[in-house]
Amino acid sequence: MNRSRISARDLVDECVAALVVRPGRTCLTALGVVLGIGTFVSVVGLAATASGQIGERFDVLAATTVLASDGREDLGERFPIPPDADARARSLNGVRAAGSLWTVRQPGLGLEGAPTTDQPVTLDLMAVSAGAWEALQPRVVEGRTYDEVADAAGLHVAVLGSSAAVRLGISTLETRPAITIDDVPFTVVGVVDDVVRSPEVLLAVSIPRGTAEAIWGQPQPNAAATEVVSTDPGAATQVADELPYALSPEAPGSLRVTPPPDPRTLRDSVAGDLNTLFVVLALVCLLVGAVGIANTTLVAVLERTSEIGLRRALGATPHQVATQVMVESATLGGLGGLVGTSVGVVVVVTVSTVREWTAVMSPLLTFGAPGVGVLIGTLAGLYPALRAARIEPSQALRQ
Amino acid sequence: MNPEVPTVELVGVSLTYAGPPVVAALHDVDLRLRRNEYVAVVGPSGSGKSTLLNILGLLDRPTGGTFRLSGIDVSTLPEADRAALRGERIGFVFQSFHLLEHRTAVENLLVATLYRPTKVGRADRVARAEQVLTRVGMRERMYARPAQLSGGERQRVAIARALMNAPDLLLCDEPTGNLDSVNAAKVLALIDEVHQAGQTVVVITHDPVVAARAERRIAITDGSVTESG
Ligand SMILES: Nc1ncnc2c1ncn2[C@@H]1O[C@H](COP(=O)(O)OP(=O)(O)OP(=O)(O)O)[C@@H](O)[C@H]1O
Ligand SMILES: [Mg+2]
Repeated sequence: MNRSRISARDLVDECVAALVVRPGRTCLTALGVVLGIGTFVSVVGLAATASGQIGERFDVLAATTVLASDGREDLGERFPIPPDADARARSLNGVRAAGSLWTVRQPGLGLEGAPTTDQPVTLDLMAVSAGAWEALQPRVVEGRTYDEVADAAGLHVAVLGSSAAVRLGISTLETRPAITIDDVPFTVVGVVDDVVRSPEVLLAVSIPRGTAEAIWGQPQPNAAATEVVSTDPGAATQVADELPYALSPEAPGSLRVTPPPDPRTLRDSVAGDLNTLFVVLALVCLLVGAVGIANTTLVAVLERTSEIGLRRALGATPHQVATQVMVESATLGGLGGLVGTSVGVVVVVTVSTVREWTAVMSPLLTFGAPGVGVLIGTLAGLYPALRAARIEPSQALRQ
Repeated sequence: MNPEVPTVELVGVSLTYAGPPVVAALHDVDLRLRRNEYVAVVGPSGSGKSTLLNILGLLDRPTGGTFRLSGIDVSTLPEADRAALRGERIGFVFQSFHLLEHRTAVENLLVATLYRPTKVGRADRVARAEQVLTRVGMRERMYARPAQLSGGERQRVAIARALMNAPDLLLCDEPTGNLDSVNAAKVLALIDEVHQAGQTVVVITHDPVVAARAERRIAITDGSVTESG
């Protein structure tokens, strides 16, 4: 015997007809899922975006920086960062640039800005080897930094951090401004205002290491001298292990090496915290949305009891009645999922734009989220569908 | 179809609602309806008329006895088969019309084609609906919603819906119960015409005038057929 069949096209038509009858209710019901999916997509998208930014900073900076400093007070008299430290460091595999720097602690050090001020200005004076400029990657506002020749020759040249220049009243290098340090004249050759490492140079006057040693001698142990090394990505840990032996083979222990943090640990912990907290929040929203759909669909079923009775009289099986209810709730969920996904994408893109981040969203999220809406709608429709299937047509038609 | 096979054959049919309280709505009903017979069912309120109609319309299963519809024993058929038979071979007309409020007249007719086992294209279904609406004199109002129609017009649309699938059996439960006498007369004339066109018709009624139009009257009291002829 032939069984009743309802075509997919008719099923969709009937579902649309039922949903557009009460547009306000349809929208409000879908709103729960819109909020849930919207939160879910924004949260997962923002977490991915944020951890993407953290990851990027690690890759370019922290993961490629190794610092070796002479901080070990208990160890000997010898200054552990020799004059050829930069060349020794550069001989290691994976090292891109290396340079040494320290603050010259000369009591009574004063600076006189020649052009505009007669009052001594107190600023830090730093010895910075020529190689260090490669590792620090400064943005040169004016002029240039000095090279190894100047360093080796002990030329009287200085590079100013931008704030140091302001304090000295130096606004241009066109007049070849000179400064005096302990009555020794220096020519200002460059002004820098941004470095990726060792930002203390921005507040100081930097002179070549060779020059500083010629005038003020080798630094004392504990002068807080540092060898700054920039490495290839992935090489930092290895370089950190080898660096003390390269710089100070007789007493490698006199150097305190700061290896990069393990990028994975930090990224995972940051991303992990964001994810669990907000995903829980999004799941709560989804649950609320599902309950909303279940509730509205159940009310709709009870309201349409006599209509369901009529459909049964016209040949519908309990199974077909249940299917129609499920298709309606799945459509509600799917609509909510689509709108919610769009809202979520807009949120992630807006936040990324404002914070100048690169939005990171997996296609799985943007294409999968509407599907999650359909799934939620389907689950929410299960109980109402069961109720609809159990309606006795003869009773329903008595009304 | 063999005209010798009765459209309806009830043998010792009873229906008891399990309750509580237990209600014996019908007991031991024997009934034969020939093809193209026009029968009125009369009886006091609560006597079991609607219950009988629900059994004839495959909406309820008898708790005892056998029911053959056009020769097919339907008492034991699975629900899916009964649903298919119901859609194909039985048309219902109710006192309260049971039209879908938000659909036009023609859309209400199309609902009757949704669940049919044999699929017909939408254009053909609409053409059939127009044809049936013409037959009941409602062609001009095919795009009107029930709220825009009078009671009599609604009932004519409901009759058209019942005729959409050319059923073997037209079951009407108080079809004029909600109508004034003028509209009732129109609806009854339409039912007469359906009968003349060859359909088997059962009409439940309180109204002796309505009952008088049928070829045969069946009286039910307290769940038993007391008079048949
Ligand atoms: N679901 C049910 N459970 C229990 N008893 C029921 C149920 N449905 C109907 N009955 C009872 O069965 C009996 C027959 O009801 P039925 O509806 O067939 O009467 P009727 O003759 O159509 O009455 P009316 O003229 O008022 O429509 C009544 O006593 C009614 O109360
Ligand atoms: Mg009744």
